[in-house]
Amino acid sequence: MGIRSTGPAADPMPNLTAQALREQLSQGHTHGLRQVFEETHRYCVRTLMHKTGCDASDAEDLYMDAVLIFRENILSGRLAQLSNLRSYMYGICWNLWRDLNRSRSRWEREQNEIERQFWLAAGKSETPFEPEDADLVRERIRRVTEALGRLGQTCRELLNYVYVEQLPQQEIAARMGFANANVVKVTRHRCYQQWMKLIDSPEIPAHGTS
Amino acid sequence: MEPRDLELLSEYLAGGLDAAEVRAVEERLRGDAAFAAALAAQQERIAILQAAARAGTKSELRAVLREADARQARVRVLWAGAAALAAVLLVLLLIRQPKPDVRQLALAAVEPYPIGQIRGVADARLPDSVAAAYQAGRCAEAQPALQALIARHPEDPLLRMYAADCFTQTGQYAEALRLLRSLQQDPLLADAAGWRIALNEILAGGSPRALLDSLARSPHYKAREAARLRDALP
Repeated sequence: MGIRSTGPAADPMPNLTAQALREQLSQGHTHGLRQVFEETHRYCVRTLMHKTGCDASDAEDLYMDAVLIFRENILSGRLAQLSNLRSYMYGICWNLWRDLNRSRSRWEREQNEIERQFWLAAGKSETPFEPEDADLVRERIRRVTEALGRLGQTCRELLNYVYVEQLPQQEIAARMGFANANVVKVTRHRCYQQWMKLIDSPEIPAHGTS
Repeated sequence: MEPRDLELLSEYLAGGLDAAEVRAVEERLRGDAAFAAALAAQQERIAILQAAARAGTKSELRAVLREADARQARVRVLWAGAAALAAVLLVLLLIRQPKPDVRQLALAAVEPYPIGQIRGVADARLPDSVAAAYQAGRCAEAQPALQALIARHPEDPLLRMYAADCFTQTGQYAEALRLLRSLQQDPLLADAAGWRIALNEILAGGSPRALLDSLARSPHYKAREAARLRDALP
C-alpha cells in the first residue's frame, strides 16, 4: 500500500504507541510517522553532522534511510515500544553511516537511490561481491530494475508483496482480489519467470549501447 | 537454468516450500555448485527488487515528511517572530518612559522671587504686609500694592520682579513676560528673569526651546531644570 499524507497535521499524540503506529502505517497513514519525524529529525541530523562530520545533505539522506528502517521495524513488529525515540533513531542513523562508509570503501559512491539501498543492504552483511565487481554489480542493478519497470503493474505489485513485504499468500489474494492462494502462487511464478526472462533478454541493452 | 529449477528457487526464496522441500534444496545446494550459483544470482535479483522498493518508499516518505518539515519550519519562524516581537515590545516598554507634561513641570517650577530681606538686600520700599502676602502666595492681595509701588518707583527692578511673579501665579503670563523682559538687562536679575521668561512662555503655550537650550548649556543656576524642560518639550 502506498504512502499517503493523511491524518491530523498538528494534533499532538503524546501517547502514540508502536501498535497504533503499526496500524496507521499498515493502512498507509503517516500522521504518526510525522510525529516521530518532528520529534527526532533535527536532533538526528544535527548530531550526525556534529559526530561524524558529514554534510547536511548526507545527514538528511541518512536520516531518511533511518526512517525507512524504523517504519519497517514497526511494520514487522520488531519494534514494540516507542520509548527514547531520539536515541533509537540516532542509533539507526549511526549504524547506517557506518554501513554506508563500509560500502563506499568497497565500491564507490552510489549513483542512484536504488544502488544506495542495495549497497546499504550489502554492507550490513558479508557481501559476496568483490570490490572489482562494482561495475558489474552496477550493470546488473540497472538491468534488473529496468526489467522491473517493463513488468506490468500487477506483476510488480505481486512481486513486492511476496519478496519485499513477505505477506502471506492469503493476504496477497485478498489485497489483489485473487480468488485464492493458489492463484497467487501461479500468478507469482508467471510474473517471476517473465521478470527473469526480461532481465536476460536483449530487449534490455547493455549499458552504453542503447 | 532449467525452468523447473527456476520455479524451485523462486518458491524457495518466497518461503513457499515445506520443511522437507527446504531440506532437499539445501542438500542440493551443498553438492551442486551451478545450482548454488543460480541461487546466489536469484538472491541478488531479489535484493535489487527490495532495494528498488525501499528507494520508492524512501522517496514517498521524503515527500510526506518534507511537508512536516516545512510546517515545522513555519512554526519555528512564527515562534521566532513572536519572540522577537515580544522582545522588542519589552525593550520599548522598558526604555520608553512617558514624556512628562512640560506645562506641569513648568508650573511646579514656579516659585516667588525671594524678597529683599531674605536675600539680605535692603528693600525698604516693600511694606511688611505686602511682603508677607507676596511670600505666602496671596498674589490677589499683593498685586494692587505692588502695582502702586511700581507706579511710584518705576526704576525699582525688584518690585517688577515681584509683580511679574504674581502675574505668573495668577495666570497672567503676557503681563508677566512684559515685566520680565524689562529685567533682562539688569545685571543682578537677568538670570532669574531669563528662567522665568522660559517658564511663562511654556505656560502661555509656547515652546522656548532655544532659550531653554542656552540656559541648559550655560552655568545658569537652573541649568539642569532648563535641560529637563527642554527635553520634555513636545
